[in-house]
Amino acid sequence: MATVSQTLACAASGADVSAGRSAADPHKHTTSPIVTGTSVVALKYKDGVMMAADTLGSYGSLSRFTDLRRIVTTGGYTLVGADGDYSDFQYVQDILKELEVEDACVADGITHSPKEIWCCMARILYHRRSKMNPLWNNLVIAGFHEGEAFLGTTDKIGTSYECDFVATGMGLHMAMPILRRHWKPNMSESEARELLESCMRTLFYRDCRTINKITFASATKKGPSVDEPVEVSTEWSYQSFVDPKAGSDTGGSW
Amino acid sequence: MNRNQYDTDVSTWSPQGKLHQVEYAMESKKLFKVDDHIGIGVAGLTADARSLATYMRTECLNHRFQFNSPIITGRLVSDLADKHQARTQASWKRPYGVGLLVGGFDRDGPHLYQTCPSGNLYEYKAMAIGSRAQSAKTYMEKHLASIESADLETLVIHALKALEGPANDKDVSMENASVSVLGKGQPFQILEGDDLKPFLDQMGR
Repeated sequence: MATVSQTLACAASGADVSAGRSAADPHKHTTSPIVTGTSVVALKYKDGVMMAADTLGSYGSLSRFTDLRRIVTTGGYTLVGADGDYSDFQYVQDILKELEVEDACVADGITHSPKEIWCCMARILYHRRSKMNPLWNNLVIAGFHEGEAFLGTTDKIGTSYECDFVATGMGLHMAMPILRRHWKPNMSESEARELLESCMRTLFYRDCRTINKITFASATKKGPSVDEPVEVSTEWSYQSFVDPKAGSDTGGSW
Repeated sequence: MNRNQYDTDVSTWSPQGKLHQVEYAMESKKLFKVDDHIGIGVAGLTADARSLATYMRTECLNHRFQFNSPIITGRLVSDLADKHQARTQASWKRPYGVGLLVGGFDRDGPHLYQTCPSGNLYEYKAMAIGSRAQSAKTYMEKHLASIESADLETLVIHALKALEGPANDKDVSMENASVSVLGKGQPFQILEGDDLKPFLDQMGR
């Protein structure tokens, strides 16, 4: 149907049909992501907030890019992590840079707080979904400002909330239960790191769009920082890993 | 409140050809709320002041919509001063005929700014504007040390006393003065009429 109406539209406007596109064609919005990143997981702890995401850029099911950074710092206090379409996240980074430049031009020493950036991102994502052209990302915004840790998230239609721990994408299914069971207020840095590694390990085992090359980041009173990627330890000698029953009676799972 | 038999209605002319209610309206209302954390006092063309107040309110609301936080006063007045300045070099416009005192309370504490029709922008600890502001400035310069450490009540009394100079022979009273306050845990509020009574009583007026 689309082909017929497009051809008719081209004929009516006298445009070159062989070019394949004319101004009279319906405008094509993003209806699915192209290069994607998977889960972002973050939690509050004693000194601030900690966040983790792997470095894989998937092209469909193909592991296309293996060193994409999906957690960035912005302003003086904030971390922004993203899953979903990587090019849309690059656009989000352009907007964050614009905010930084505005602050730098005023030069009053003030930069936006994590909470302000979280609200601003939710507004932008909601605005884009209202134009029926969403930015295909879940964003996790974390920061440490005026002695207080902040952690919030927003999805691609601008629904946003604050929480003590968040996970996006497959992490919602597989990291959230771990976080709900083991997270507690005022965890030490090593406890928080251990919990986050446990989440990332489980996701690496069970999410088919991950690699074991993971960036950990934190925002504390010292400011936000993103570490170089590391591997988490794995254990493949479990019986069900060694002797999977794939295809026998479980429909391909173990 | 009535001062004569012709001032009860907005459309009743006095034998001198005056609309008293309209003139009362013109001589009052020099303090405007912009947001919970910003207020302005104006001297000059009231119409220009109201248009600028509308602009400032819109900017505050836009900032609250986009960032869910109060706008930084310094950034707002900087844009405001630019607006003044643009009017000084456009051939088809006239400069704004109004000066503003802008008070704001931000995350780094209280601020007091003055804008001028020229586009100049200053920040002060205490300031007075208007044609008879000099005696108020003199009063505040003399009492600056006490003003800086004053609690709210003392500060209001200082403001009223500073107003007595420009008021000339008239005493400040519930009828001719209004004071606005804002600060930490204190959203912008205008004190006028009976609100001022305790302060005036304490001044012995």
